[in-house]
Amino acid sequence: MSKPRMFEAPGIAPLLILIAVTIMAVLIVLPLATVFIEASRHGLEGFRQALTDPDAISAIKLTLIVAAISVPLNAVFGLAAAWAITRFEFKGKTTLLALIDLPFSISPVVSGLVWVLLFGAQGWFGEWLADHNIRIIFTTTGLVLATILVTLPFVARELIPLMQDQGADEEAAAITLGAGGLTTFFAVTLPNVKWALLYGVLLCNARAMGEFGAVSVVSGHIRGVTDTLPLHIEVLYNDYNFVGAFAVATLLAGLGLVTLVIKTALEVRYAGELRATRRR
Amino acid sequence: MSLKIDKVAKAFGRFPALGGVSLDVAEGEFLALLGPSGSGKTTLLRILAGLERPDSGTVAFQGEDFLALSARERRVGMVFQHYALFRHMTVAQNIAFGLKVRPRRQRPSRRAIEARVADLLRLVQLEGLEKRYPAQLSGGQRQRVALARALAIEPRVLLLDEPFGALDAKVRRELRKWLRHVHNETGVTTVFVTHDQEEALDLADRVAILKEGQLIQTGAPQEVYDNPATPFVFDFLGEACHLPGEVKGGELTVEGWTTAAPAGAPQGPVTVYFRPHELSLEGPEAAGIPAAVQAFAPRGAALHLTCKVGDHDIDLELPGAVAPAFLSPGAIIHLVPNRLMAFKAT
Repeated sequence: MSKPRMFEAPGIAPLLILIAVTIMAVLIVLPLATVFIEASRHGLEGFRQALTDPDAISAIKLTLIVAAISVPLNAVFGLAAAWAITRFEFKGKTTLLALIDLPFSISPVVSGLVWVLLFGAQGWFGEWLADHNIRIIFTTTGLVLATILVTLPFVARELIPLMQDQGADEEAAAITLGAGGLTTFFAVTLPNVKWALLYGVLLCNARAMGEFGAVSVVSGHIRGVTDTLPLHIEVLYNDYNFVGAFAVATLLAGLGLVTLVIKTALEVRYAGELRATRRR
Repeated sequence: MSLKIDKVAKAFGRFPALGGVSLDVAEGEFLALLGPSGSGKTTLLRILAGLERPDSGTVAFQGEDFLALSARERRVGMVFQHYALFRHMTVAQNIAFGLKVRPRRQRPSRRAIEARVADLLRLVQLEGLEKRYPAQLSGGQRQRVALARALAIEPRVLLLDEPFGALDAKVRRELRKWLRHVHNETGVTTVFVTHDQEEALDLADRVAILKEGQLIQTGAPQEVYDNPATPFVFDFLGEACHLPGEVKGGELTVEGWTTAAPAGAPQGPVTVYFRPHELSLEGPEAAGIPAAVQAFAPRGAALHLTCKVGDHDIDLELPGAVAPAFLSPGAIIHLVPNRLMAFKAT
């Protein structure tokens, strides 16, 4: 099928492409390239040193732990929320939708600060927690809470439009054919949304590992204990350790790029199936 | 009685979808629920399937309370308007689904399932397509897969929601014939929903006409076509011409033409209904409803004629493409309906 042409204007398309490519180059490719170049200024040795530093290793571990806890939780929450919103009519549905979007619209710093206000030493539950010897702020728990709040919308937001589009007829069909709730979920619902779910999880993961603002507030910046990768980069940078900062930044950017590559590879590999699940 | 629907009512919020519908379906019957959109026919079908719960009323199947059973337990075959095929499963997997999800003890062996799928593929004439995905099938083929999938569980009742709604006219006619054939073959009690009167009249043993959540009339197709209970049914079942008239004693007068009033006609001012193809044309001197010819032209096997009766424009579609000699633009002719009905004027 040929694409409809809105108007004939020779030279417009190349011009627009040039503008887009220039903007992309200046705003995305150049800064990313700078990171890699700066990081390798002292050769592989500087790179190795920066990444084998105990504080760096601790930051890598912590980042992976935080992502490993918050991403699955948000995947489950996202599925449950999308299912509830697209399959049932209930009061407060619009409010729930708005709440899911809230973390997108408020500053991550605020998302971090709310936990301090709740669980910090001067917070609402601060005294009670101190009495029971439970610590949340300045610990991994706090980091996980902040990360969950910031990355809450990703999975749900991917699933809701797709599930709305697909409708509930296939599930209804499965039930009339005698399938139970769990069978219907695993044999019909989940396979129909698996690509969107995976995509949402990948985005959620990228954000969970890269989150700075919210995590910065609850972390307390205890080196080697509560510094995640983005926080560690800031610390190195403030210490004028530019090679180290850029080396760790390379690692973080690399994690993001890996996510992107996996996503693109999946899209290419399963293009046919993706199309099949999106259309009726 | 196979299926007994008694005073079933359902409202969505403040919108009443069904207002107390009672209807019986006989064993092995092929029943059409016919009505315009918003008449509640799909809601009634979904209640039978167990996908909606009525606010009041009962549904019994062979004496058993159907409403006490969940959709899962009813063993009702449902074919959805947009087929609702499992898009990530092949044709064969779709058809086998209802058998594979049975509890282990009732589940047929893998061999038996394969044999059943092969049988059904033959019944719906889709042999050789078992490995295809729904996205790779035409609309008509998807429809047949959906039917095979519903039949796989040996349903006690088969329900079809606008089965031909999304297909083009030619495929529709073919599938209609074929669905009738499948029904004769399986003998399963079937209820189907449609807004297409031609489809309902052509296919069903019995037609139930719904309007705004109320059951207006039920009967064999020819019976309801010949004796519509209300002006709505008359209009809904086919093209209709309307003219004002008056009934006095046993006589009906329309535009100065007097004839015997049809049985059951109310006294006083009425609206006269007749079909645009059920009448004969008479010349200027004959008796009948006087009409001024405006235009006429052959249309396929029929003659299309536009004329004016009093202030009313009447479009006629007469069988036979040859125009009588007295027909010319501006001529006054006379119309004699073969069959007419008179309802109280509104």
